[in-house]
Amino acid sequence: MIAFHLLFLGGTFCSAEACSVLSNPLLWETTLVSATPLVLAAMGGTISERSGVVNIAMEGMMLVAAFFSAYVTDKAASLAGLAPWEAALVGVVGGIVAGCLIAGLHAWASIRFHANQVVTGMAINLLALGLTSYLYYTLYGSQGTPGNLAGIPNWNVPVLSSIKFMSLGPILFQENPITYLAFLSVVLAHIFLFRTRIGLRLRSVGEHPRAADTAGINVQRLRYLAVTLSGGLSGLGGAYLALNGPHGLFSDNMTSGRGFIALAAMIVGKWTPFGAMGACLLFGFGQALAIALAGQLTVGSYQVSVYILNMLPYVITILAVGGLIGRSIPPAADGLPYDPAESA
Amino acid sequence: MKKLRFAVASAAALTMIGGSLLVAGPVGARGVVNNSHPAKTITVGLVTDKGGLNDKSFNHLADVGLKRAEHKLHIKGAVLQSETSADYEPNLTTFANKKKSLIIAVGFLMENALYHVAKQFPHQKFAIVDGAPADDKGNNVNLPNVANLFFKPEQSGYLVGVIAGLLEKAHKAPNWKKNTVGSIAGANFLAVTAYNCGYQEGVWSVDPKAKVLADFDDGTFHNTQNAKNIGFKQIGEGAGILFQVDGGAGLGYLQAAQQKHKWGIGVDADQDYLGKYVITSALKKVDQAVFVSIKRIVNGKFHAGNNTFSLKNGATGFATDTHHVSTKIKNKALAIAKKIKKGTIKVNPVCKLGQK
Repeated sequence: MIAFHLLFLGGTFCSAEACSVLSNPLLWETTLVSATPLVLAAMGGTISERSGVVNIAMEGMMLVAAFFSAYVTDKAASLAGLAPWEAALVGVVGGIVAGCLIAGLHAWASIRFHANQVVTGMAINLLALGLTSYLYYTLYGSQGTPGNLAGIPNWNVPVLSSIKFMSLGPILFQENPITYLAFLSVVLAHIFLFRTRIGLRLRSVGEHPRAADTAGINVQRLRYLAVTLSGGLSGLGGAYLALNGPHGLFSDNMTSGRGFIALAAMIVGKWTPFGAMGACLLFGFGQALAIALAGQLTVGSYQVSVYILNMLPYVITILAVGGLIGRSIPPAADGLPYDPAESA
Repeated sequence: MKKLRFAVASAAALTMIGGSLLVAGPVGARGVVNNSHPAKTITVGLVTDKGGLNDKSFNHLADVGLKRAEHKLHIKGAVLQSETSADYEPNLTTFANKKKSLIIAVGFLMENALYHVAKQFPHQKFAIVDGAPADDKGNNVNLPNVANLFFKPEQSGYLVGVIAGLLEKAHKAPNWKKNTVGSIAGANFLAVTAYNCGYQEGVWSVDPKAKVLADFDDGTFHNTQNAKNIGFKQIGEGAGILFQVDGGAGLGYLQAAQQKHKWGIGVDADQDYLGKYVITSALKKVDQAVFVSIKRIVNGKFHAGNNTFSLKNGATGFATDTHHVSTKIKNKALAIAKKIKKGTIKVNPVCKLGQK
C-alpha cells in the first residue's frame, strides 16, 4: 500500500525522463541488492524483539560480521590455500559466527545482568565501529583488504534466469545466493514464529514472561536463543555487504546505517517477518531510486536532493510509530528484563 | 536494581573501550622517539577526518607524509582518527593541550572545528589540508596561526580525463562504441567536484562528442555498496571507464568496474594495487604537502594563510605507471601536463557536472 502511494507520488512529480527509470530492470535489481542486507538484519531484529529483547545493535553486528567475513576469506585463501569460492564460503560462515558472538555479548548483558537493552545495543554499535576500525588498521595497514579478495558471485537459476517476460529472469533469477537465502529466511522466520511450538513459546516470552515461566517455559534460554539467532542473521547480512560479487572488500564503517534502516523496517513491518520484508523492499526501492534519479528528480522547478530520499525510511518510521500508517505496537514485554527469582 | 545499574555502567564502559581502542591503537603504535636530536624535538599531531586512515587515499597519504617526516626530519608524530564529525574538535583540542609544534587537520570537513580550536589556542600552529578555517556562518577566514594547504585537483582530473577520452576515442577502452565515460563525486564540495570538473573538461578537450556521466554519492564517503550500485548504473548506461572521487566508498565504485570487466581510475593516491583494471590515478600528493609543511616548521618558516600545491611543485598529476595505456597516449598526457604547468592551459575547478 505504501509502495503504491510512493509510486503514485513519484508519478505526479517526476519528469518523463525520470519516470522512464521505472521501466529499467536495473532499478529493480538494485532494489533487491539494497534490500538483501536489510531483510536479513530485520529478520534478526524481529525474532529478538518477539522474545522481549530490544535489539538496536544490528548495525554493529553487521559491521563486525562484514569485517570477519572478509578477514576469514582472506586467511582461508592465503593460509589454508582454499579455492576462491571455498574461501568465500568459509568467510560467510565466519561472518555468521562473529555476528552470533557479538549478539551473545548483547544477550549476556541484557539477560544475565538485566542491562538496559537500548544502552547495551548502542554500546555494541559503538564498540563494533571502534573494534573493526582498529582491527582493519592493525591487520591491513593502509592498503586495506587485498584487491583480489574472493567473494560470492551471483548465481543464475537454471531455466528461470532466461525468462524474457518483463525482464523477470535478470531481475529475479540472476541474483546473489545470499539474496535467495534472505528471502528464504523470511518464510522460515514466519513459520518458526507462527507455526511451531517453540515459536509460540518465544512469542509468549516476549508478551508475558511471568505467565510463560509459570507454564514451565525457560524464559532466559529462549531469549538467549532468539538474540543469538538475530546475530547470525545480521551476520549473514554483513557478510553479504562485504562479499557480494566476484570480489570481496571491507571498508571502514561500510554498513553505513543499514542496521538502523533494518530497525525501522522491523517497526514499520509491525514485528512480523513479511511486514518487515515489505518495508525492507520499500526502503531498498528508495535507495535504488535515489541512485537512478540522482539529479533528475524535480518537484516543480526545484531539484530534490538525494539526501531527501535517504531520509525516507526514518520519516516513514516516525509516521508508523505515530499511528499515521497503521499503528505499530511492539511486543508487550519488549525491553523489559525478566528475573525469575523476583516475585510477580 | 543494583544489577541493572551495574549493567548500565558496564555498557557505558564497553562504549568507552570501543572508543579508546580506536584512539589508543594508532597513537600507541606510532610514538617514534629519536634520540639523535636531544635538542627540542619537533612534535606533530595529525587528525584524520571521518574517512579514517584506511581510506587508501586522502588520510592515508597524510599519514605517509607524516611517516616520511618522522624518518627524514626526525620529528615525533602522533595520529588521532575521527569516526564522526563530532570528534574533530575534541581531537584537535587534545593535541593543542599537548602543545604540539604543528597540528595538521586532514580535510576540509574540519574547517569549522579548526576555526574554533585555532581561535582558542592562538599560540599553537595549525595546518589544514584542502581547506581554510571557517567561521560558524561558513565564511573562510585566514588566521595568523593556520596554514591553509590548497591543491589544484582539477589539473589531475583534467589529465586522467584526457587519458580516458583518448583511449575511448582510439577505440581501445572497454565499451568504446558507447562513447561514454563515468565518474562519481563523494559529496558536493569544491575539493571533491574540482576533480570531476577537470575530468569532464579533459575528456571533452580530446573528444567533444563523448558523454561524461557524473553522479553524486550519498555524502558518507564509506557506503561502498551504494557507490558500487552507482557504478553498475553508469556501466549500464554505456560507461567503459569509471573515475572515482569518493574516498573509501569509491573502492566499491571501482569494484563495479572490476566485476563488469571495465576500467577504473583511482584518486588521490596511486590505486593500481587494487588490480591492473585501475589504469591510472588522479594524484593529489597530500603526503608531499604534509611533508613540506612539517619541513617548514623544522626550518622555522611557517607560512600562515594560503599555500598552493599544484603541478608546479609536483603535488598534482597522474600516476605514470599506467596499465592498458599506450605510450603515445601517455606522452600526450605528459605534454598537456607541461602546458598546464606553464599556464597555457587553464583548468576550471567549477562546473555543472555532466553539462558543457
